[in-house]
Amino acid sequence: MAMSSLGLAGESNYRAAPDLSGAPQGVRVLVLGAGLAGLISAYELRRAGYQVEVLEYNSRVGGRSWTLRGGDVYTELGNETQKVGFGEGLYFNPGPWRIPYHHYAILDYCRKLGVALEPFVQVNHNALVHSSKALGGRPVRYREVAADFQGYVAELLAKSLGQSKLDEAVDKEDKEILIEALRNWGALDEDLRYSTSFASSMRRGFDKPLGGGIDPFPTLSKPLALEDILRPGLWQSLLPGSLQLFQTTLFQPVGGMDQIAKAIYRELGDIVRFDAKVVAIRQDERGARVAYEDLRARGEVREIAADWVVCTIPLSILSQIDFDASDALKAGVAAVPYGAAVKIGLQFRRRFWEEDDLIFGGVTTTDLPIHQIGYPNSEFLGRGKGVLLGAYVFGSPALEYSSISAVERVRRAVSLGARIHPQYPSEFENGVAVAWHRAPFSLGCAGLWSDAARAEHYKNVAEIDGRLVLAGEHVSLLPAWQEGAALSALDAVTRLHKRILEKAEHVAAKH
Amino acid sequence: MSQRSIRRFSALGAGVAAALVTLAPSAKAPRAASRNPLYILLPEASFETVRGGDEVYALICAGCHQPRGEGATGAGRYPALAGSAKLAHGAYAIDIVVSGKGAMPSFKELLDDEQIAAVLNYARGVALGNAFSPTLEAADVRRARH
Repeated sequence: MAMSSLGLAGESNYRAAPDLSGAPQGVRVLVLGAGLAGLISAYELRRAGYQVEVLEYNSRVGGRSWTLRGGDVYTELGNETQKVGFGEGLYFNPGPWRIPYHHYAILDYCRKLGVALEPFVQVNHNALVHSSKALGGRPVRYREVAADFQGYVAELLAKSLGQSKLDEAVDKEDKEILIEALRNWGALDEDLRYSTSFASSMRRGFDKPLGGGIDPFPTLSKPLALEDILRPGLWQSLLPGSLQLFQTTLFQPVGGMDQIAKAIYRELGDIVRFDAKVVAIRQDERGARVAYEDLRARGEVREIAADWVVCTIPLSILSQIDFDASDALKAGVAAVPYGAAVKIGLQFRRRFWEEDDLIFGGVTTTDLPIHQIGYPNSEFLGRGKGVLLGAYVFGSPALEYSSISAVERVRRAVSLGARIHPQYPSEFENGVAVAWHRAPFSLGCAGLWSDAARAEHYKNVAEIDGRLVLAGEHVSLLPAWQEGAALSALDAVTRLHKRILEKAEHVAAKH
Repeated sequence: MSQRSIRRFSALGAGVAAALVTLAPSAKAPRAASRNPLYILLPEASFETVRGGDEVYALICAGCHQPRGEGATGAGRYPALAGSAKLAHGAYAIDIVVSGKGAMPSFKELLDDEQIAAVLNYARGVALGNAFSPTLEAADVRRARH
């Protein structure tokens, strides 16, 4: 199996927090970066009894696990500053925004540290599927595409079962069962046709729904034509929800993704130095020294000595830092490009997607270069303003978004989104756009390992190199996921602890 | 949809892309749907139609290297292209765009030979305050592709 296929698994191999017992006294570990990998490393090492300090470039914890709220100010590379204008209690997660039920490590920290979670809706059958090339650009409901695609596939297969070679695949008894199953699965009629019927409307919705009182009778809905689902690729909207990564149940922290980082930080005490830009990592047999610019003191260079270093700095940045390591590690650090991704948060004066369109959470997909509209998964039926994810793009559209101003990105997201929700122009209030290639602290959204680079370098990047060990989503097969950062951190500190115990025994034996 | 398209979806699921987003519908498989997951979701209006070096620069390069090639600095930096001695070496510059370097991805799937030559000629020219010669040709890029 190719290495990249493993990334598909998505399910975490986390079982329990590491047991780091027996740490020698007075051993100093310096953690570089206060994103989730750094915070988790610091948390576990400190609990084990190590003397831990953390250096962080930003003035906050969390790294890419980040939430923007009203009043926040963000300056991206190129020096454009955005002041977030969201109303009270509203927020937008520019980085990770969902936690699959099987990302056990992250969930375990949420449980232990009391981070409140609520459901994140991935598949919403009443959200929209849109293609500029389908149905004259008219969006349809996910349930319509889902029911119709399933119905037509069931019809084709059920009818084919009477014919030639397909008969050989199942015996007579199974064939009857299968046809009955397909009839039910696809909402087919007696003649095995998928058509306008009560059964199909129960899946795809009625034009006039069932009611009460004197006129409760429904009007049936007519399925889309199969070619309208196939040719413009509407069927693709059905696939993500089938991946284990996006299967029900997913979660989000109440109030924003940064609640996880903040909860871990609360446990750490005052051991994080903010506004510290690492410029050099030195090491030899006796220990390590890390030089950083103190951005609170006009960039004055300071140095910290430690016995060991856990470095969670993204490879996009570490590859530019002067650091002592083996050639193998250095080659690996330089072998991983970082991806472009853009997310745009938009505030509207009312939750029209709920009030007018009955969309409660979940995701609308489109071929327009906003790719997704993510509706808020909390405060349902609220009467006030709402913030939705107005664009989530990567690949070449993300490169384009990154190349224009933030103001222009927001403007485009509003004008494109208006083709799906005509309420956009009249209800829009303000927005904020994060283009990850312009994030000063990461220079990209995540490490994009190629299969070839992974085969050649991954193990070297994960190995302890003298006094230095790396951690972060880039040292995992769950790239860009917080779980990948967590698993990599837990594995790094576990191996580091073992190495420290071995060294201590070795020294004791010599004396 | 063809078997090939289905496999592309699987490859997408396997890569970073699946970790990042759900799929947006697209009518056909993109030109550059290769092994590099970065480009698998190219919309049908791909960069094929963008021919001018100035346009390619504005759409792809300016986000990081900045509109006038001034570069940018945060925890790490994007090198300035304006006045960059490295750009003077045509073969080196081609290799960086074709193969990528460090955090910078390879653009060999997204851009064809003519586009790479055009954008490098733009970056090596007066627009970014440079005056490097000779003019690079598509054939120079073709030789550099592995």
